[in-house]
Amino acid sequence: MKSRVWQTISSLIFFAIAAIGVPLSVSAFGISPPFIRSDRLVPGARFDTTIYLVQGQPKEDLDIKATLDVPEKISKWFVIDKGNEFTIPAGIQQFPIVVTVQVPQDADFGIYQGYLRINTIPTREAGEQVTISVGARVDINLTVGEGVVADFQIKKVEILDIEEGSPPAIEFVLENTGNVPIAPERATFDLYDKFGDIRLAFSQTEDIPEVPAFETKTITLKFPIDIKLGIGEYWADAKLYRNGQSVRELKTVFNVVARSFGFFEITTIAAGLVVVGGIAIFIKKKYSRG
Amino acid sequence: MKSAFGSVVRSYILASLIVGAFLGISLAVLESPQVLADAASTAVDVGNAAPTVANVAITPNPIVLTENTSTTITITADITDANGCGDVFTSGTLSAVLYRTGVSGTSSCSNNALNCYRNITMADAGGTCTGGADTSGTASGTIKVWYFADATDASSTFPSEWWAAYVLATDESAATGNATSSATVELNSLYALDVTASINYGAVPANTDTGSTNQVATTTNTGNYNIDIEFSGTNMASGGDTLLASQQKYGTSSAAYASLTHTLSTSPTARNINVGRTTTSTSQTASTTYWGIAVPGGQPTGSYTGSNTFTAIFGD
Repeated sequence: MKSRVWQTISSLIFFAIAAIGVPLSVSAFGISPPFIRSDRLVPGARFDTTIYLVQGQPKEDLDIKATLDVPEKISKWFVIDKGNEFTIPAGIQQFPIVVTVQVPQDADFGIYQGYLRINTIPTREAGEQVTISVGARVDINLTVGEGVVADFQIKKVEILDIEEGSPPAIEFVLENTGNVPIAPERATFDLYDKFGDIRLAFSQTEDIPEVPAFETKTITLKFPIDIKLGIGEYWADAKLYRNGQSVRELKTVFNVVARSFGFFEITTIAAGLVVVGGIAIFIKKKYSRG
Repeated sequence: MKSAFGSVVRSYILASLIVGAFLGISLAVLESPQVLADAASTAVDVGNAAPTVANVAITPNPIVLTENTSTTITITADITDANGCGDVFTSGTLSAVLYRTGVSGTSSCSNNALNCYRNITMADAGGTCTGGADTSGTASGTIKVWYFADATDASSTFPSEWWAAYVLATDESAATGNATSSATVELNSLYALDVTASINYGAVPANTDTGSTNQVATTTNTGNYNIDIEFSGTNMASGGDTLLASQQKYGTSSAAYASLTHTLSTSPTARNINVGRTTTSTSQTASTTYWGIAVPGGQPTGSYTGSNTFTAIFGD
């Protein structure tokens, strides 16, 4: 009897933990976007997707664990650039990770689904019995087929300021949303005066580099023209074409600025002076001897 | 005789030439326009030209929000005024609206933290309008978008929509120009949660459970989509001794241990908790779970610790 009482008391004492403390560390975390999705994959395709791990108050370093939960046959298709365990440094509210999906050449056609769970690895404060790990689940949905999908989106177009003597140029961002390399078939450039009333020149190009499937790239195009532009403002109307239709147009002002002498120009001039000076000295010496 | 006649003829011819020259010069003078130097005053009224707005852009693209706080979004636009860009940047006004494309009224929508942010002040970005004869400059403005704003990506409620920016330029004479961004700017779905406190069961004797004393864990939705929760946990440990995760139970209502709805598993298990998205910045949506534990008979004494995981998943 006595031993049983003592056993209970000791169990009670020794299974105690520190007194219930005040609510401890706040666990807050999120991911955006919460999916990895493509319905245009073909065997051999590769695409990257960026997922942001977000915290409203990133006061401390945060350890993260990423766990893939997919059918075994596709488990090797996925690579996370930061690895499966990494640390988000303190102070970073939006931490990007890039998940690469590489479909093997011998992949079977089909729809593949699964999850990628991204969770925090909490630190245990004094007195905590059960720590709380928070996280979010990324839904994975991939379709591997044989259909060719040629599609793109122009995310941004800009008409660049140029130096005097340089041809007009534009820069655009193209996202290839298909599964084959692609580019606009043609780009045109209409040049107007500073008031946009008088058309000064027209140029076009079909020499546009393709963007690989599932990638996004920034492309710069130049439009040589026959007239020389002086310093000042000009209006321009740039268009990108696909299947004979303009898919993106931008009409705005750009500037021609004074040409700056860069390292190459200064070096060339200096080299020229040295050569001329050398020749002059040679000639002088030759005739002095004579 | 002959010399006298010849002299008369020569004189006659000379006189004729002189008279003819005089007449020719006189005619020429009378026929030609007369140019008189004089002062003339000129005047012209230079009319006001309305400003133009172009190249409206939203950064970043796509829009990624941060849980439980606001995120700064930048809007830029090229402004041109033939009367000089100072007519707008210095003497006029610039403003913008950031909105979800399907919202009622589109660029005329009413302020709503879910889908419409009005009266965004725009200003010269880095002195691009130098004044005087300079007719163009770049305007820039920022707005803080709340974490619960409407997503438009493929997982969202509005997958065929996106976010756009409308910029209005008004010059000194109240003439206006405007433009709307043309790029498809998605606002991404954000699954996020905030779970307060750890779970501490205190002292629990072997061969007993926590009875009607529940520990409470509150889960707050800090994203922009309804979420459910996956629960999982590790076995608790004290040195080499283990207390199985399945000894913990939980539910969405306070109850005695035996009546708690779910048993904790080491494998993630989805539960229909339904933590909805908040729609205002002054309140949040939360859900409470109630926890208990049983310690089996014969369990070695010790201080057992473990970890439970709350994972946000797509909610209905």
